[in-house]
Amino acid sequence: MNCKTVLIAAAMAVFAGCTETAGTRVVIDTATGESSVMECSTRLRNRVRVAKCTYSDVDGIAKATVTLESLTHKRLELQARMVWLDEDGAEIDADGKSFRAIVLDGRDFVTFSGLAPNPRGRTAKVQVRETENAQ
Amino acid sequence: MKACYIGLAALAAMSMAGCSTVTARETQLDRKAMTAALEPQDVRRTVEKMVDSMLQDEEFIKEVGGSRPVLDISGIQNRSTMHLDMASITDSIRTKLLRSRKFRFMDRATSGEDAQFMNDQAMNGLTDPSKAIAAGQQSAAQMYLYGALTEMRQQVDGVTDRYYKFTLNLKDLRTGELVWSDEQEIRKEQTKSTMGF
Repeated sequence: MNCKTVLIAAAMAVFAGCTETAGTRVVIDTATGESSVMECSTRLRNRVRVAKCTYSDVDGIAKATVTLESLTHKRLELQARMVWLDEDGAEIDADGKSFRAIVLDGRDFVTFSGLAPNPRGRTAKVQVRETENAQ
Repeated sequence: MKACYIGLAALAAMSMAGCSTVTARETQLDRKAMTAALEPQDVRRTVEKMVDSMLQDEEFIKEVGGSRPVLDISGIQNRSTMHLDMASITDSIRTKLLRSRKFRFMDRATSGEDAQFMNDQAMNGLTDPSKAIAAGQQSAAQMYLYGALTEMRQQVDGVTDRYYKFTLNLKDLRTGELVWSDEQEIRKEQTKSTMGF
C-alpha cells in the first residue's frame, strides 16, 4: 500500500461524517400557478421524484399540495416542510412550519400539503430531506 | 515516507481537534427523533396539523359564515405519563389561529387583571372618566377548544414502543355541538442495544 492510498483512506475516514444536506426543493406560486422543482441533492434525486404540484384556495388562504414518488424499491424515511413567502418574497413565520415525517414505501406515492399561515401567503416552498440528514 | 507520516499526523490532528472541548451551537428546531418520548418537533407538528386542519375545514368555514368567531381555550388534559406544559401547546395553537386572521380569542386567564385595570381607572381619580373603560362591554366566546393527550406504551425485548394521541375539539357554547375535531397520532420506538458503549 503506497503513501497516497493510505492518505486517501485516512482522509475518507475523517470526512465520512460530512453529509450532503441539500434536499429536494419545490417552489409553487399560487398566484401564477407556476411550479419549479429544484433538485439539489444528488443522492435524493435518484430516490424521490416530484410527480405533481397543485394549489387551491381555502377561504382566502392558499393551499399547496405536492405529490412525491419513490423511485426505489426500498422504504424511504423522509421529512418535508412547506414554508410560505408573501408577495415580496419574504418568508412568513418561517420557524412556525415544522418538518413532518414521511415514510414512503418502495415505488409508492405520497401527497404532502400545507396551508399558508395567513392570507398573505402566495408562494409555497417545499423542502424534502432524508431523516438521517436531520440533525 | 516522511511526507506520508506528516500527512497522517495532520489528518490525525484534524480528527482529534474536537476532542475535550465543550461547544454550544444553535440547532434546527426540527431534528430527527432522539428518544421515544415526545420531543419538540412532535409538538410542533401537532400544533401545525391542528391549525391547518381547522383552517381548511370547509364545512366549519361555511357554518361560521366568513365571520371571525370568538374562541376561548379550555385546555388540553395530559393523560400521558410524560410531563408536558400543555398550556404552552394551547398558546401555540392560539397564536397561529390568531395570526391567520380567521379567529378572535378571549383570554380568561387575564380576566382578573382586566377587572383590576377597570377598577383602577374608575376609582383612582387620575383617569379621564370619558376615557375610562367601563366593565360589562367585553366580547364573549362563542366556542371553545378543549382536548386531551393520551399515551400507550409497551416494552418488548429492549424495544420501547410509544403511541401518543392528541385530540382537539371545538364546541359551540350556544348549541353544545362539537363543530370541529381532529387528532394527531404519533408512534415512536426506541431500541436499547445490548452491545456497544
